[in-house]
Amino acid sequence: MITKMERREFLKLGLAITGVSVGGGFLSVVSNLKGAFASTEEYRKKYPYKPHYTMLIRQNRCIDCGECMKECVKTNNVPGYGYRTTILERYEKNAIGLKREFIPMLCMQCNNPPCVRACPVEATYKDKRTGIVRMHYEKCIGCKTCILACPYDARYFNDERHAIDKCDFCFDARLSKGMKLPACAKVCPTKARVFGDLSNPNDEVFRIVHQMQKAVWVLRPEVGTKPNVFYTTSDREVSDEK
Amino acid sequence: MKNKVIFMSFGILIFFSTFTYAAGRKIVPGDIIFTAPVKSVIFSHEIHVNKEHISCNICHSTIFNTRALNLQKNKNFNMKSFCKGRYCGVCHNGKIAFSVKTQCARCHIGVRGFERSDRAVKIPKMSSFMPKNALKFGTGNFEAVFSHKKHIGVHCNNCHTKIFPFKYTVGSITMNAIKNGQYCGKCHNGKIAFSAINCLICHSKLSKQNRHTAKH
Repeated sequence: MITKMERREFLKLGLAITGVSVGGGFLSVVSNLKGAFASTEEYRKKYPYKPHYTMLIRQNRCIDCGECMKECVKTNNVPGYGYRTTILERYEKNAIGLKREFIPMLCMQCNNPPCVRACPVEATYKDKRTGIVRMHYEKCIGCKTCILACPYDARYFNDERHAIDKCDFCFDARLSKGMKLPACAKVCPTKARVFGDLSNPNDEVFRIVHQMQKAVWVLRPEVGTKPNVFYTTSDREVSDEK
Repeated sequence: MKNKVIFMSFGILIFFSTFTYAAGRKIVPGDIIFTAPVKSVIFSHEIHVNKEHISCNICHSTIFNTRALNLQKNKNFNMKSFCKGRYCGVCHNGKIAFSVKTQCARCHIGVRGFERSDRAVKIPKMSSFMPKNALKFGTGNFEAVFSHKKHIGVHCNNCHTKIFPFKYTVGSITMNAIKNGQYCGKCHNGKIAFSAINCLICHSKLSKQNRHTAKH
């Protein structure tokens, strides 16, 4: 016989557990579709980005060869103590078969960026045209509030510039000079990083983000940042890619 | 007294069980970590030999040269040829073992995996897994001895598996065949190594006891 009080406790416990699995998990299944759709449908009217730069990461393709990081350092003069993009590693000892996964990380170019809100001098801002979160390096006072605000640990303090530096999809180094791809997406040997335009319905990224057969997720959806970097898996052979 | 007997029999049981366990496992070369064309890919001898019980002969030397890292100098040593059924793809095709088209991170351990791994195991040391005891051919006083230890400067490839299989077999090794340049005679011809006419070096039992009969 369960008393009312016990039942209440039980329900509380259940709630707490759901809270943990949604809130604490790096890969949350619950808000996959919401996370994927929210970025375009909700925000398209509010921020008319053209092109809406975005990156799709086919996570199971990443083999941690480090080519993207190497090319990023070369292109953007990233010092040894910081990174604009990195690869996280997860090892599950008790998993069946495949036990390791690599998760490429970079600035999520959030639609709702906490770093922009945190900056006291408006040195970091959401670009009105492309949607990329960029830096006014000369405005930055180096208070590092944005590093604390960023849920993805995507920013570092650059001593040489005496300013915070971060990934800008290579806008300064490549995109603004007419090149189509950021350095990391260009060199990836397994085509794990797909760079695209979310405002273009014919774009590969648009088509993958707006389908429902295959899971598409974002990192840490619970913080409500609405990232523009999506994660998915790919069953297609690497050799089939152009 | 009774307790003592039980205790001792337990001790003997444990001793033998560990002994047989150790005997069942083969001493294998360490992990091989390929760094080209991408950094880095792991191959574990431990898993393939002791867990999956694959004989050396299956891969060496028809699919893989026994000189491990020589292979990655080949231009076609890449995923494309694996998918076509070469190198690892001979077994890893989805039928015998998991396909090379899936589960990338099972073999690809990445840059950090390379740094994490013990540098000593990247190129396995031959002396660590070759037979420790001398191999014996023939019977009685005519027994000939082959020592791997004395051949340590010679690479595995030179004998295995072109001249000798990995598995110990006496087969048709006769002195006549050796003198005709087969088996040991391939090297022991007086040019590369000492000639097979020097009986006593290999037939060491002769040298101790029947020295006189051997001379005649």
